[in-house]
Amino acid sequence: MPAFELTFIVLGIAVLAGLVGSLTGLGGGVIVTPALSLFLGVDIRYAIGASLVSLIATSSGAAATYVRDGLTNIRIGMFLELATTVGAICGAMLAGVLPTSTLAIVFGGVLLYSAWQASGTRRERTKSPEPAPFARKLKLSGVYHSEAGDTPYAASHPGWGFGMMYGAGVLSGLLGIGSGAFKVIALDRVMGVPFKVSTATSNFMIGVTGVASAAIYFGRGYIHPALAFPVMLGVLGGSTLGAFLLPRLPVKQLRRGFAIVVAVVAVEMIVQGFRGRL
Amino acid sequence: MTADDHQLEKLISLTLRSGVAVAVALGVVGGVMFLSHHGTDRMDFSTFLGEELPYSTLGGIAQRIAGANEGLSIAQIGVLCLLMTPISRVALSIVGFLRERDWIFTAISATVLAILLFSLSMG
Repeated sequence: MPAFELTFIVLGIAVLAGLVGSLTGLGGGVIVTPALSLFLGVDIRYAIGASLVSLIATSSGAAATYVRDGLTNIRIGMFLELATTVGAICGAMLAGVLPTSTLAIVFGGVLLYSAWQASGTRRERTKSPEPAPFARKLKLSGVYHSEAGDTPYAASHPGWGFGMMYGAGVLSGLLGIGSGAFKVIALDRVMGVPFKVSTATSNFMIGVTGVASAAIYFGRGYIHPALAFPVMLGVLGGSTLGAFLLPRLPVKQLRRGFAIVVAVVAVEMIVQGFRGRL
Repeated sequence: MTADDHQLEKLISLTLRSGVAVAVALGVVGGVMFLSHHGTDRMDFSTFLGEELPYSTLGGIAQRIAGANEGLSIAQIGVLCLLMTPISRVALSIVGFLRERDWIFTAISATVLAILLFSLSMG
């Protein structure tokens, strides 16, 4: 395909990924990799490299806003990044030895789970559980400012959260995704951090987690500039557009509809993986 | 959250935004240069070439820039700036926690930075 055409198709995919990512909460990575590998026939390793670039771009862009608005808990994020970065390095090493068809199958599985997760409804917790003494010592706490007033919170079960974050890091490094769905579950359900703070903090962590594996992938030549630059520009444009459209669109229905699309793509990746075509 | 924490938040937010802005600028410049010279070149990504291409090392990228009018190398430097953005965010946090005299979190941030640098050295 001529470079001109390819650049614009990749740019379009990335805009869509950024748009969908900010509207549904599913990271751009779950769109970039399947779109590049399934539709454009790009080798899955290049697709994963491009996807990592997309998630570092969106995380840095979104995190800047969230941090400014005081939603992100920098302490909790930094503490858990110990686990996600080590996990990401392990995942990137593992990716180097696994066959690409296995990567495609695991990717499909994670995609299915994320789709199911994104289609569900959220509930706000009213009372946070008792913080662990360890969490108190590290001051893993904060105040969540909302329209209903200020709610103080503190993280509980830091050990479980830490372990889950390691797992999220491995998946992130292995597949070049942000694994935001897993990070939010660890923060929100396990550690009892308010949902919005969980989302913001997860977003904040995705960039650092992504870099831990991207640095390794960069050296292995997974990141090709001809794919990386349109992905970087497109995904940033798309997520900016998404943030603008977010209050004007029926997000709940969009999320449902999109979850179905992702599930179909996931099954396709698993099938192609088993056939050894990816 | 203390006043110091808020200052740190502002600084981190600024770092993230300026890192992304520099990366975008280089990506646009490099991309336009690449397309204006090589827009009709055939591209094929169905086979993975990995380290056979010069884009995985600083030396390789620099050679390309010095050698020919190579927009892709400039775009790749933009990508590298993007990768450096979260790393500098962590480095900044170390300074922030040091100023708060929060030794535990200074150590945690320093460890995260060490892990990232270790990963860079492997790449």
